[in-house]
Amino acid sequence: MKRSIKTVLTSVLLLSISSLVFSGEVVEDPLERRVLDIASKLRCTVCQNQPVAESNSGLAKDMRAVIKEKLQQGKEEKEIIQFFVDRYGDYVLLAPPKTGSGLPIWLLPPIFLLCALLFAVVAMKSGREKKVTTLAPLSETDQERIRHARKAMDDSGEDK
Amino acid sequence: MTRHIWWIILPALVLLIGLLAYGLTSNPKHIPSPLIGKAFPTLQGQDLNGNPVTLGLVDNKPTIVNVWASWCAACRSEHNVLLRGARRYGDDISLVAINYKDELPNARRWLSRLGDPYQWSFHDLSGRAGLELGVYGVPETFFINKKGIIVEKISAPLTDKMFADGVALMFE
Amino acid sequence: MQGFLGNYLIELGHLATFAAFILSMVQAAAPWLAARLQSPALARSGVMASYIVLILMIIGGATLIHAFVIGDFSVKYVASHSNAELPLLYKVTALWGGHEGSLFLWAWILAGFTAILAVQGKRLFPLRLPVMLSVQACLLLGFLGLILFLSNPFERLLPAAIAGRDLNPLLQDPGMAFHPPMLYFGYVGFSIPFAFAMTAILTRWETTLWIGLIRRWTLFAWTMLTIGIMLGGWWAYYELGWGGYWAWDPVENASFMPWLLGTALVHSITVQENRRMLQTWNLFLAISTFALSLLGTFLVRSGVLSSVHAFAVDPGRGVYILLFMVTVLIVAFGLFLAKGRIDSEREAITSLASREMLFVFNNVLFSVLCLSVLVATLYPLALDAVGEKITIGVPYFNSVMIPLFFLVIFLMGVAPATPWRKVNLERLWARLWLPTVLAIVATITMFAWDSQAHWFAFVGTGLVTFVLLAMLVDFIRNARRRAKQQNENIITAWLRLVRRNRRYYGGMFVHFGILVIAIGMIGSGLFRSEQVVLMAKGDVIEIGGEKLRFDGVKQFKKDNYFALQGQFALLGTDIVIQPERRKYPVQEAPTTESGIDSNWARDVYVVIGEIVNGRYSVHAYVNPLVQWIWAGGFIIVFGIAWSLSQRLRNKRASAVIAETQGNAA
Repeated sequence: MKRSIKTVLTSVLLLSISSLVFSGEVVEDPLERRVLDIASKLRCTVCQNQPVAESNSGLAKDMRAVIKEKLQQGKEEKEIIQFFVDRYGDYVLLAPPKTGSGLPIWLLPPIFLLCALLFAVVAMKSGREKKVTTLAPLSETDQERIRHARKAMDDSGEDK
Repeated sequence: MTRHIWWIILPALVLLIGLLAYGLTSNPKHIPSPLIGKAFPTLQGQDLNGNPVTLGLVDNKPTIVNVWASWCAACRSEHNVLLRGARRYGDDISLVAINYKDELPNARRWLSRLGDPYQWSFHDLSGRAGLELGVYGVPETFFINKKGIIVEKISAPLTDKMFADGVALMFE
Repeated sequence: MQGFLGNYLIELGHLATFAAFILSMVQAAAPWLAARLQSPALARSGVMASYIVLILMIIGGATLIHAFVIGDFSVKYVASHSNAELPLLYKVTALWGGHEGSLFLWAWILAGFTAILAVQGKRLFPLRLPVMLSVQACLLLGFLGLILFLSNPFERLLPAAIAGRDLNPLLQDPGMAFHPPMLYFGYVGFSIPFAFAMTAILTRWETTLWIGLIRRWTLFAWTMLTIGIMLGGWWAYYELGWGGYWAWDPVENASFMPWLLGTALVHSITVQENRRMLQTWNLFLAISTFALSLLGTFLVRSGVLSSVHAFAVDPGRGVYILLFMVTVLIVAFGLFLAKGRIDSEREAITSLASREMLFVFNNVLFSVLCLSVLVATLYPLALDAVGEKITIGVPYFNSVMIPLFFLVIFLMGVAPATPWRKVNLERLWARLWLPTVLAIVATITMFAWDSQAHWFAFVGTGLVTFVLLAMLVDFIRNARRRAKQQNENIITAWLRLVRRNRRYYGGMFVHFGILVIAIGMIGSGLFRSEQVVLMAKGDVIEIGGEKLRFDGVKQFKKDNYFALQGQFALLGTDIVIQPERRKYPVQEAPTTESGIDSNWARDVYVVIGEIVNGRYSVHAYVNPLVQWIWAGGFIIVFGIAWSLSQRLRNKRASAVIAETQGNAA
């Protein structure tokens, strides 16, 4: 995702440099792209479940402006994200951190899978054939009905 | 399926129902602040009259920083609380404010009509100061003790009780 | 036709709904009363009651729609969700544009399906029908209670509003207009297997005898849910302006969870029809799928979770729905745990390496998927209870769910090649070695083409290739065998095969549809190009191999909105992409309409934003293969239709057998 965008970006840059003769060809500001990259990892704190990159709320715009400013100051992505985490908590991260209170939610799905697989295998293996309770024999009319119905199915050629 | 499925399904159901019941009472928008227990950052800027001011501990007294805006309806409901609080605790604390993303004329008009409990209001037009403080809505209020540490952050309109509780925390 | 008649028609609808409420109580109590009073006629009255309830609900619904169509703003719900200038289609679909009306739709569909169940049951399982109708009636009571006492669409606004508030602009859209009814057909459809399961537990009705009967209901419900989810995704894609179609939003998850378990149920039923196994699994799945439908309803309307498109928050209603849901859950799972061992006979599994076991693994995977989504959706709430707040967003869900789906896709390829009872590994390898080898080749090719892509792309490509080829091998094998047996040429053999085995090949079509969707998701999810630029008239951008030239904007008024439309020429073609920003004066909420040019290879997707210093902010995407996702949806629906079109003669025949054998039970 991010990497293929970088590929496109690089090729666009190269293309645009080589085609400066093209009047009016605009390219995306690489700084803006970096801003959006970082913003796509942050959650807009006043929106409902949206990344900062996609939200149009006032706070999201402010956050993007701050990201841009810090990038211009030469700060690294990790620093910038930490800046927001320090002020808004882990809530501002779009995916829970893999440590602390976020760890359980990362561990649970693999645990579920392993437990469920184990359970299924054990349950299936140990399943004993239960005693078949003998049903009353079907009456002749009932048997004829079944025979008739079965024949109807066979005639239609269903073979699976 | 074995009998043991009891032990999984039953507690799971209880947990689920309890969680959802809790969910009805909680407010999904409230965010606890990680700044509590940390030092209030020093932020320099201008007040509503253009004078240079610095956010942080003011006059070396425990300080309350209230975030408000003239476009914020809820700020109105807490304004009298602030006026009362300012009168009551007056000399023992400093009460300043951040005027958040507000136009100067609107802000000034609001204060002149409703009263000004603050020593001054930091003019944060861009919202940058608010961002430094993890502000995500208005009104919010920070309680800072004598050492400059944030002891409490309220993200809702203040009541008299909240004000008093906050002050108590500031003096602990 | 306002005035006297208009004002009273809606009250007729209100009264009819109330009568339906009362009658449902009768329907719910019928079998128990009948047992008490030893009156078989009373038991059968449930059937008649279900028909009348439906008629009453039709009256209620019709008066509501009528109120919308004529613009009766003395009805509060109409005033809040409609407007005189609203196009007619949306006046009708506005019925489910808000909380009260959509609940009514839910109940209406429930009444309809119950009546159909009554018709079916009279012929196929008359003795147990009263209990089944009682279960349905209890559910209907829950909803009608909520509607009549806490969320009433018939509420009046007197004096009437002069003009309506207008329907939310986001809903004035063909995709969004039909998304809720499709979803509700799905949710409510799953109430039928639920009713069967409950009735089976309550009346000791061997699963074997009715499992075939719920197959069509389950498939129908699953299909409707699939269509509903696809419509939602499609709508989100072209409407919301970020070029995506699924955000793992809690409301989306609420519809996805019953879909996941429903898929497990559909497959699990197949196992039980072939071997006498998994009866308890099926009961559990039937109950849980519907339970999740109810949970979905709760989550969406209670404000418990923050979501982009939740209904308006109202904790009061939330309490009612929670209580209703709790009651259903406790009764249903309680009965299941206490008396769920209704099957006397069960086959043991012959070997762990068999198709049955693969189906079990399938059940496991889908259940784990569903559980993971549920836990992840509720985890933030749980943490909130201990005072912490985190976000579980798209990156988390993608990391966790996609690998699990990869496992599912793998099963999709292996299972048809694996025989029932016990697999012969040599034969299995003989069938699968070629798909495996070519899959590895495909993976390497993908890696060579773009080694920087996310690893999902490599694994995904390999798996999709594997399954496609495995399916092909399976088809060819079967066609060849038939051609030899019946002395036909291979094409005829294959065609006849597909026509005679609609269930099997319908299923294969559905799997094929899933693969097509997977391809679409790999393309659009992992190889998307995106740019955000400021453009002045005449500017050109290059993105994803396409060039767009901005040719200015047009402004105009249409229906009930004002539009600002950007003109983007796709260089090298005659196409002009025209994204819009619309302003709806009544609701005052501006919307953006994306401009999209689609073909099978890619979508070029443009959103026009604000004007900054004389230049427009433009957000452009190129989404490769995204149309394959919607195409896959159509293939799935076709596959289901094919599967269900099995000749009725067989259906009746198998039903006769089922009931006759049931006579001995």
